[in-house]
Amino acid sequence: MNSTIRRLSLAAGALALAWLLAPVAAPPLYDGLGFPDEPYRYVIAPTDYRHTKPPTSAMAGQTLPAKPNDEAVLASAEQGPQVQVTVLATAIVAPSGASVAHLRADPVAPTTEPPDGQIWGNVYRLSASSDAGPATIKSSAAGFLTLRAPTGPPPSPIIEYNPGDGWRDLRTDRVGTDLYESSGSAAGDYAIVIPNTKFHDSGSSTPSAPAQTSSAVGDLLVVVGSVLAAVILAIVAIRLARARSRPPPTQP
Amino acid sequence: MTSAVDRSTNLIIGALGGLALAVALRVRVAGVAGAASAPAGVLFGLVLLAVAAACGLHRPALQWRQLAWGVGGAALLCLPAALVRLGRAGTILPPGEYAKWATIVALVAVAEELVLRGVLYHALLTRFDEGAAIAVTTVAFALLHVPVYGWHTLLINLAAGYLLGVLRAASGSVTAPAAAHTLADLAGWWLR
Repeated sequence: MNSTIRRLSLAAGALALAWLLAPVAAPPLYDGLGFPDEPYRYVIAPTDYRHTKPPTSAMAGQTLPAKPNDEAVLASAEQGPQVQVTVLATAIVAPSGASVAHLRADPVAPTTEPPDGQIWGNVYRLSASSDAGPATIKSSAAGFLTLRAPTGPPPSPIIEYNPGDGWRDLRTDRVGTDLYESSGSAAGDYAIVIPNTKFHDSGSSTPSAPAQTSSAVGDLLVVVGSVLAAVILAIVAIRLARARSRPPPTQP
Repeated sequence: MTSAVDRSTNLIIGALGGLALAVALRVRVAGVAGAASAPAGVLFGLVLLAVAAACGLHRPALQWRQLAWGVGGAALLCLPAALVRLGRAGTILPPGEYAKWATIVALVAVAEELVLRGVLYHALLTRFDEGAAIAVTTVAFALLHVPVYGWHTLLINLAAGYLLGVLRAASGSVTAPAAAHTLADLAGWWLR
């Protein structure tokens, strides 16, 4: 029983440490089957891309005046939302007398490419309005935005933000197989961008292609590596056990 | 006549080979859909069930004690994810797909456990000792997820695999880790 408690404690500690070092919000929790995301919906689809419904907007209302810890959560309606935003209510700036603010993140076609890469998927425009006139969302460290990439295998993209005067990089965390998150949720445009270096390294003409190609090769290498590692592990373990169980040589 | 030791060795190699084959098939069938491919998930689960059957899996014990171990293990597995989920918005999923998704997830989780903590663990325990059985099944569990989910999941799956191995050792049956694994995966719908 002591051994069981010790091992369980060790397992719980290892689990906590693993989540601290590498929190995986990716579905599923540990294994099983990924959530059934539908194909990415583009505003303007690449040539030869399958037919899909148009992408949806994410919308939410927020009663004003808000309490200090209120937050509005927006998510688009795709299976596997393509955009999700959490806005701290105190970051909403509305005219005095406003009783409700309307927040939305609309998909728009990319118009200007950032200088350091290529936009991968739609641009999402985060905006606000209120029943008393125009409103906006100021920058807040507590807000964050998650974008789903068109395909799963990631070529290490980043989320960029354009408040209207040019694109700038945001600190980006991969929080799922195809999900990327950045802190901050001020009004403006957001997009997943593949930096030019990654784009050119992979030698492709479109952002989505290198991800698929490198992933297929990577998967194959991982499968082969896993098989080899498992077989080597088994052989070493078996040999060690045989060596241990072999009787000592007898003296002539 | 094959000795018990030789038979265990064959089962270890057979189970590891079966796992590798199942993973390779899943990756091949899934293509760019990756883990989200339902057909690949079903194929993966069925191949693992076939491997478990071919390796002569013993009938798992089905007792309240085993299930209690499983529920406790699932709670431990879910706790860190729940805490992380509290701090972020997560993904809001439509409810309509849950039944189909849950069926396949349960198939995959149970099939994995039958091979790993069923056949492979038992063979390793026969051939070596409990520590070796937990260690090898933990490493195999972590490695088999890499092709589908990526290297960034290795650490967490090592920890989760170790916990499932400890549950297997403590409860004396594959039922407990199978229950824990399945419940934790199913909870992922709300913990994403």
